[in-house]
Amino acid sequence: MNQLLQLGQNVALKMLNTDCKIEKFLGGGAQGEVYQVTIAGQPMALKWYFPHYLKQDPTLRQRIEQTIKFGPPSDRFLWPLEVATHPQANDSFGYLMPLREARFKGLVDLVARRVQPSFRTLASAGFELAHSYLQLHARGLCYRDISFGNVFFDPASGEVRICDNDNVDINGVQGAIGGTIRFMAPEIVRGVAAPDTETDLFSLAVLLFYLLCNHHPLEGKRESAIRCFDQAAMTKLYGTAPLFIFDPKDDDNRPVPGEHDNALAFWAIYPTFLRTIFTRAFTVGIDDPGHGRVRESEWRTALVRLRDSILYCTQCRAENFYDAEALRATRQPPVCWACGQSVSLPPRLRIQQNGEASVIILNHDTQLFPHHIDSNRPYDFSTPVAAVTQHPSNAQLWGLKNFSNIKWVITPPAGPPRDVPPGRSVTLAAHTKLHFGPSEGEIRV
Amino acid sequence: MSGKHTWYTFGSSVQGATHVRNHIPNQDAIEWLASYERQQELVLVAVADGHGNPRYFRSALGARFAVQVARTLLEQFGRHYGQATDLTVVEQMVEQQLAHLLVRQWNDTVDVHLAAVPFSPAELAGLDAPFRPKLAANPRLAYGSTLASTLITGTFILYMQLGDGDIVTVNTDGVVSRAPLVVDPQLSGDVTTSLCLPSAWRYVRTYLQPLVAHPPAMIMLATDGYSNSFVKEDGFLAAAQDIFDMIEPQGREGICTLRKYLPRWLTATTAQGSGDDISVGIIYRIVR
Repeated sequence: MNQLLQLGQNVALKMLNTDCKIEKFLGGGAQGEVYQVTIAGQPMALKWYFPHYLKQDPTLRQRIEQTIKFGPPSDRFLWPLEVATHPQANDSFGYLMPLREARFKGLVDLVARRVQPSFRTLASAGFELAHSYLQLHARGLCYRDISFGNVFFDPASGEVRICDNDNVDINGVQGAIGGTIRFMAPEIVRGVAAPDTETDLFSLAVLLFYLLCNHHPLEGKRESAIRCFDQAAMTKLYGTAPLFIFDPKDDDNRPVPGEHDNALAFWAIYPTFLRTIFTRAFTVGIDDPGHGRVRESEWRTALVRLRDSILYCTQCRAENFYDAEALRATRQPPVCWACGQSVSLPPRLRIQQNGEASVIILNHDTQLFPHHIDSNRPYDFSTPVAAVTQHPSNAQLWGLKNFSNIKWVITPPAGPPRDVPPGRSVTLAAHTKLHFGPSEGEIRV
Repeated sequence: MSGKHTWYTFGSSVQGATHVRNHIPNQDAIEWLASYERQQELVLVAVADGHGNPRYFRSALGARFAVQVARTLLEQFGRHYGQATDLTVVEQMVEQQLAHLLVRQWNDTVDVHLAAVPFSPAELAGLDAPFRPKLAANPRLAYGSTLASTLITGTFILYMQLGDGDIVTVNTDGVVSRAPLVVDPQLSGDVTTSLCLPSAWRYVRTYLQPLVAHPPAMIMLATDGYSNSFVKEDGFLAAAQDIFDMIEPQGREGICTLRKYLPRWLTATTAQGSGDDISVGIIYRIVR
């Protein structure tokens, strides 16, 4: 199926001062083809461009060489490592990059229901995406083509990989890449702005909505009315008259039952705080591109909060979400979206750090990380510092075990404070206060 | 014509041997088009397989609608984008609109037919009890069908498929490969995804391939009655190679010969093999 390079052909990698042999055709698209090669015993990927594509993007090579020099913002990016050339194919070139492991699936696979990850995985993937793009933007770079074709995730853990980093450029530099219309900021679709970090923020919001709701935020009744190839209709839908499908003031673009069921189902499941931030992203975020967009840091906070709010239905074990705002408003126990039964709330840990409170649901499988208890280690989810555990001889008794290397001090509701050294546990009893060192928490039941 | 070659296309659809014995009509369908207007070359083939289970009692119609909609849609797409130089835009339209439009237009066609010809008591009489409420909730189930299609223009090849069936390519050296579509893990045994499923657009797989130095010499599309007639995958791929080998030495005359004998060949295959309906479409490139 490959057309550009032949299996067994060699291409030159100048910086590495070596050739590599084309071993396998991995896939392709409108820009070029991707092959597997081996460098120093390590399988890697090589992308090679169609000559006709290079005419549309004359600064591509310069941009890739610049990107190589910048280096990746993190290990989540499959970043260009070196330019590849071939003496008999001097009308084109390629670049070497890490090979994406087989465990990563595309968001395309999610949309097509070839994978069906848990909410925990989706929240983790969403957090990693927000965190990764923040790291990219913090370097003064913009991605310019955030879309679900460029993003992959591990359905078991939510770990992500971001591909097609040949679009990356310095923020503010004019370039050939406009993006993917369904993910483009409306001002780009209208032709009044060029891609930059602010437009990346809109694309990120669309990507996160797609990840969590398996549907596009602007595709409701107006989209279902499109019955033929209609560029003008698409320009209106995504550019000149974009309307959030759950816009609180305008219901003209609501999801159509039978056609947009995912949007209807998932939107109802998520907690109020998440719906609020998405609503802002697609109302103020559309109307005020300069100042109204949700920042990557806000998404990061929201998605960690989403993950920490997961609780399991006591009847059917489906993942649900703790929604403090809804509970205060209705004063009714939550109802499981899957089986319709009331959900008993498990114990929760309310932690205070730097004047901010966060609530972590203490499920049977909950782990706490440095992020949760140490404000000097935000978003550090590397090694658990605590985990919910079951008493070895009394299955009705649950505790929180100290996996850190510092002792906690707990104050039970009745009784003097006592130490909980590393390796020991504290029973999940209501109103027990925990001092983790840099932060304080209280167990609520 | 693009460059120095011409694409030819033809096909055949035969009633399965089992269906002949049981007086069931052919539930496959096929359409093809070759257009050589100046500046507007395009060829396309679409094959569809209506589900054979009695639950899907109008699937022969569903298959017919599938290939008709695919032909119209792909022809429109080819005429609109066939000469585009920026294939990233074309790729986006494929990924973002084509699947939705295919399913929407098939749904519309089914809905119009159903409104004009409601289900009869005789059609409903044979249904099992568990299926009745599902059909009541989604009447399009009765029309369920798969679809496999290919469009070639002056600048690209587009593969589009939903459900089972096969699209294979043969290069100029006679090496057979499967078209580079994502493998759908939901296809196994008799289970297939279908146009009649809710949000069926999710299951449409597409691949856009720019036409550059080494386009395929032949593309073969077939409903699964063909591949199921062989014990192993190798046998089916060898059949594609046999077709290529038959045409290749004789060019246009080979195409004429195959066009004449293909129905007979497929009738023998279903009798000796799967017993299922078989539809095969061929697109062949002859260098001028």
